[in-house]
Amino acid sequence: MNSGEAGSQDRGELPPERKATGTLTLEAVTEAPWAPPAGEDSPEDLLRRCAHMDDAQAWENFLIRFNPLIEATVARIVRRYGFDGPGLRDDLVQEVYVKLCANRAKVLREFKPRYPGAVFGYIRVIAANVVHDYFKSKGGKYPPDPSPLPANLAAPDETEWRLLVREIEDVLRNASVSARDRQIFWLYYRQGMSAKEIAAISLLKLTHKGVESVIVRLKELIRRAFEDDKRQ
Amino acid sequence: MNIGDRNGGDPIERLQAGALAHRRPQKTRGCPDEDRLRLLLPGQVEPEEAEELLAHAAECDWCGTVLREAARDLNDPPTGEEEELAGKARLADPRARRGLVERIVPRQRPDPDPKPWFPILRWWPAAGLAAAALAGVVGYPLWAHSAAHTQRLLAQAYTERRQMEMRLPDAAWGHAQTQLGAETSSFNEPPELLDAKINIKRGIAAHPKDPKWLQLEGRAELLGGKEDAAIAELELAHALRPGDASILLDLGTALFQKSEKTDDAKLRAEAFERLSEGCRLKPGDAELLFNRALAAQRMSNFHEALDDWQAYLQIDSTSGWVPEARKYRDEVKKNLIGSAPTPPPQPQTH
Repeated sequence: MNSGEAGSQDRGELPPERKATGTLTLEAVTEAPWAPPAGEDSPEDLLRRCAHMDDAQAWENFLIRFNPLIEATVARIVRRYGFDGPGLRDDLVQEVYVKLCANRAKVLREFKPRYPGAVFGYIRVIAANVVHDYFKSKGGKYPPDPSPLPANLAAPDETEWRLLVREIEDVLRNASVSARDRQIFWLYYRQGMSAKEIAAISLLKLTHKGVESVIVRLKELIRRAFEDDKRQ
Repeated sequence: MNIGDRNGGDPIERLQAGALAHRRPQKTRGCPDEDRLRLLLPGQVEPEEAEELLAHAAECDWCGTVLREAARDLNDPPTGEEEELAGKARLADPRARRGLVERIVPRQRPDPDPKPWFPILRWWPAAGLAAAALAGVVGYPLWAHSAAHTQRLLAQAYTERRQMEMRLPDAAWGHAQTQLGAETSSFNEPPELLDAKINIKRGIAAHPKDPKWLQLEGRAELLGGKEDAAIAELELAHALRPGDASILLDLGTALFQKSEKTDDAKLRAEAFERLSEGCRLKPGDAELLFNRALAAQRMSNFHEALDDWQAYLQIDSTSGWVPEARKYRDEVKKNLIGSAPTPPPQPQTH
């Protein structure tokens, strides 16, 4: 390994060969029973064949390979809305296929394989979107209620908190922290995403450890800035 | 900066506690589409848009929550229980899978075992009597509720109270009556439209995924001025039967109507694309040519519009639509020879 690669790993960035499956923690999914059997089309090639809408064999393979993932995703999101039942799940799975085929398979044609295995995350998002759209049309409640404040934590009042947010943003900007790292900071501390969830955003090209190291670095930066300010 | 002095304590802890106490997920007008936000996860958004979405989600409590929940839902692979449910689903059965594949990719093969027709000669008198009786007792209600009759009712309703410039399949020319695309009260609807809607309701209840009934439902919504509902039904019908030019005609018409209502050039271009797709599937179809010519004209694609109007007038020289088509063609010609721009085409009223 050359020094450049070592450097990128120290920073928690994915080396090129691992970026392939590092996002959306899809390793587990691609290693699951839906992984392409040896000698068959890659998932991306299969999607391309299906997009022509005239290849029955490709669609049969698609169903064998992707349907369990679609079913499992639909089941999970349906339950998040507090519903269940095979009838509703079957109907929504059917809607997923209607969405996949609509406009001469526009959804499949638009897919861009930005990294190997991205197709699994894509299909899951399409399935999740169909379920969210269904419940939205029925007035379903989403997103869930925010987590309650733990009893041992005293919160500042709202004005004070908003001022604090602004001052922390000033500290980050004055220290020339990159936009990407500032976004990671706010997703973690304001939106309550975990490092693992943030690492699922493929655009950031960071592992779970990489996200954690950004957070630790910025946390220290802010604490130091506030302490310096106090001393002055 | 003096907030540290004011409050003491660790700023990070106060930040976290404040976020838990004061975060308010409320959607605002500036929030992006949630489906796009979720597409950030597998990286299916162009980098510039992705950066904008991420910057917004980091600051917006609604979008941040949507992104967080999506990552939570989709990050972990399916659990054992979810896999088990998948294994029990309808599509786990190979026959159901084959059925779905056949609906997605319809097979086109000749009947492997055609039945000889001549044995009918032996019993035709009895069969003829039975058929006549059946036609008398059962035939009328069957006919009156059929998709073909419903299509005729919709065509009559269109002609009776024509509310758009574009044509509907099988509809005769009619006076243009009212403002474009307005939703109409059911009391003002022609009785044919109400009859058609009853048939459609019955047809959809019996065959919820039949593209013909879905198409008729879309057409009825279009006549009622509900373009969004019409587009949704017609998209579904098109997905189920992508090679049907008449569905593309209706879909293109619905998109055009919506584009007129919202003055959306992108929708108009999409309407043109749908109608062109229909023309490719069914070259020389009068209604497709008429509607595509209108869409091209409205997009100021005058050369294409002129070609379509001339092609149309070659295949139709006698129907009630001809004067209207000639008027549009003449307007296009004027625009092409550089005279003052002609105002957008209006339906001809007699």
